[in-house]
Amino acid sequence: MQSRIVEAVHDAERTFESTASRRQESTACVRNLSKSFRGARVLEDISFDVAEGESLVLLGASGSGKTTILRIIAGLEQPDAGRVMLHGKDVTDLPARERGVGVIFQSYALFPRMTVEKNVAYGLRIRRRPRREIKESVDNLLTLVRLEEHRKKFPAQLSGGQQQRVAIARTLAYKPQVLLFDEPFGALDAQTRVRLRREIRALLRQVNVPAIFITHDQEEALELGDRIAVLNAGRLEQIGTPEEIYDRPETEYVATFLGAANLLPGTVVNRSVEVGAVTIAAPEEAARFRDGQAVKLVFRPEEVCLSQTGALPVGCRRLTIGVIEEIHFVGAYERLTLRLHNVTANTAGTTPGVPIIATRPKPEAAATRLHVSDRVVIGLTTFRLLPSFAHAGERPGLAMGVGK
Amino acid sequence: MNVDTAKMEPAKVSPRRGVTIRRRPWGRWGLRTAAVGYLGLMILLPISAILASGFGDGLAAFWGDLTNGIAFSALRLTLITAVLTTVINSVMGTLTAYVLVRYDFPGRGMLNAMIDMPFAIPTLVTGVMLVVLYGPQRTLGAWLESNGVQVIFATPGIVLALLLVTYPFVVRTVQPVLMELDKAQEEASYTIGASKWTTFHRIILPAITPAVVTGSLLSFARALGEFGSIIIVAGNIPGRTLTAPVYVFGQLESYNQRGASAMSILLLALSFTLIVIVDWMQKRWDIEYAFP
Repeated sequence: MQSRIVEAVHDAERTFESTASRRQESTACVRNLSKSFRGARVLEDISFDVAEGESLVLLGASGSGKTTILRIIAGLEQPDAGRVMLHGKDVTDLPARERGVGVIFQSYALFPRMTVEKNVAYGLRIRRRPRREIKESVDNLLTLVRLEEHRKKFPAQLSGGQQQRVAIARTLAYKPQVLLFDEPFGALDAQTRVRLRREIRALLRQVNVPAIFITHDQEEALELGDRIAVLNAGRLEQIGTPEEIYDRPETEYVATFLGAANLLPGTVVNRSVEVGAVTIAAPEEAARFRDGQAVKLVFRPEEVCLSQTGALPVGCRRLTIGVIEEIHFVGAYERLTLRLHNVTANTAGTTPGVPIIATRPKPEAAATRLHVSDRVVIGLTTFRLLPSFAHAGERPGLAMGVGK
Repeated sequence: MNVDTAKMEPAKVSPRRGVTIRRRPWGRWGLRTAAVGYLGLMILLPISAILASGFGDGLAAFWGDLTNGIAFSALRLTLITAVLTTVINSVMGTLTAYVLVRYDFPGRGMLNAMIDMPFAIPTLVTGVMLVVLYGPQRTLGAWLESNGVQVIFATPGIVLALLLVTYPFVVRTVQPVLMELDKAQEEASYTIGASKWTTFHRIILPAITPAVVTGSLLSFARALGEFGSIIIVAGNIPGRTLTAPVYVFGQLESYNQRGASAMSILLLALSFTLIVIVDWMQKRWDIEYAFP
């Protein structure tokens, strides 16, 4: 059984690779979507593409507008402005039932008075397909989602994961152009989630249908998405592969929402960054900014290197000296809280110094032990500079506050 | 030390509680007797009185009281109008509930509040309202009459009165079920490709059928016994527009207690059966829904 799945996955992966070359052709395409509810803006000028066989994750906190985007694509909500295209065809004005999209609702929305097989057959029965064809595809789908032995059961008799597979089979039955998953794992416990994520991923590759996922869980986004679109307050902050989003966040929000990030306020001066009394050379990064411009120095906890002796490894730029405030052992790595003494925050701080988070992999932590209140030299392997704005709302693209 | 007292405490308490119960059995039996006695006095005693009166002269007399020309036609009229009312109610009530739950429109709150009006209006007043509106001297009534439709003092008037009086039943039983119905199920059906009608009769209707049937049976039971509005609207012509409850009233007026009792027993039995059926169905459907 296990080997069969693995085989299926490998099989699917081969198909997937072959389709990857055709990526330019997008199946689902959203252009300049805007939407307000009772005067409140929920979406602002959202555009993105989903390629053949690709899975895109819309990642955002609750209220970021991600569900509204999904509902607009499905035809359950009308945008105030903007278009939705499926396979090059403008479907913005088509009702939900003529769009051929498959929605897997958060609650699964299975029909409680129909058995598993009736649920799966629903899309074909309302299309008045011949009885034999219906039976055949229901059999195939139930095999695909491994629910053959549950076909006569009612949804209430199944576990959450099984119900979800019924929901997927039910949408796959009518060969949708795109699958939309609304918080697919929200209702499940942590362990089941991880297992189902992998199952769905394998299944999607097998059937090769593009998918759009909605989630607020960054871990889920990293695992499910070929690409991730980060949404914040109705705006698309950044879209890219998980690596791009994680390694090169373009906004402060993206940096902090996906993974942990340290942010230090600074100023660009002469191809380097001044952070309080400390200057760190940044010839490449600072080139994008003019002298005197306020920036945020952004780095991940794992991009921090620490040294008691002052000898930092090659490729690690010295930032400053700090004192260790806390050490936590967190499984595979060690997490440290440090206070940087020469770096005063731009705000009138009550405690001198700025706290940052650093992590060290277990072998390194074991090789050179560090203790609370040790003084260490702090360096950075990489970091990014982001323009800094006085208020969160002032971003490029919104007319006001550019370059403040 | 501490451990010891802790161990002893329950031993001290439990016999004391046992004694309390044994000393005052009145607390328990008194309440039960009161409840059962009240029920007997208020419900069982009158029922047995009517049974004694109706069956007092034997089964044959009872049967005769129900099947004599006037009684039988009154019974038939009541059943026909009640069935008609129930059918119309089940359709219009479901429609009203659906519109109230699924659509947002100006005046929805008002409409929702007005649904219960028939419960609040004295049925006598309902009758008066209908006579004023459809009476032969009135514009609408006169116009209808000139077109050959007699409403007041005829069967249509009875049905209209029953419809008005029983309108809330189906609406109020279906509405909460519709509200609880996961809207995602409907949306799923649309995205799968179903039309509004297909979605309604394949997804929504199966879910609300128990509520529709319950509401219909309740409105049927209510229609069987309606008196206040009918006596004003129907004209009460024996053999033509005399309904069973009005017949009972007439028999009492003319000192035929046995005849009044016989018809009452039948109406009582019908209503009681309906209530038992509703109760049984609800239990069955509840179980089915929880463990299908």
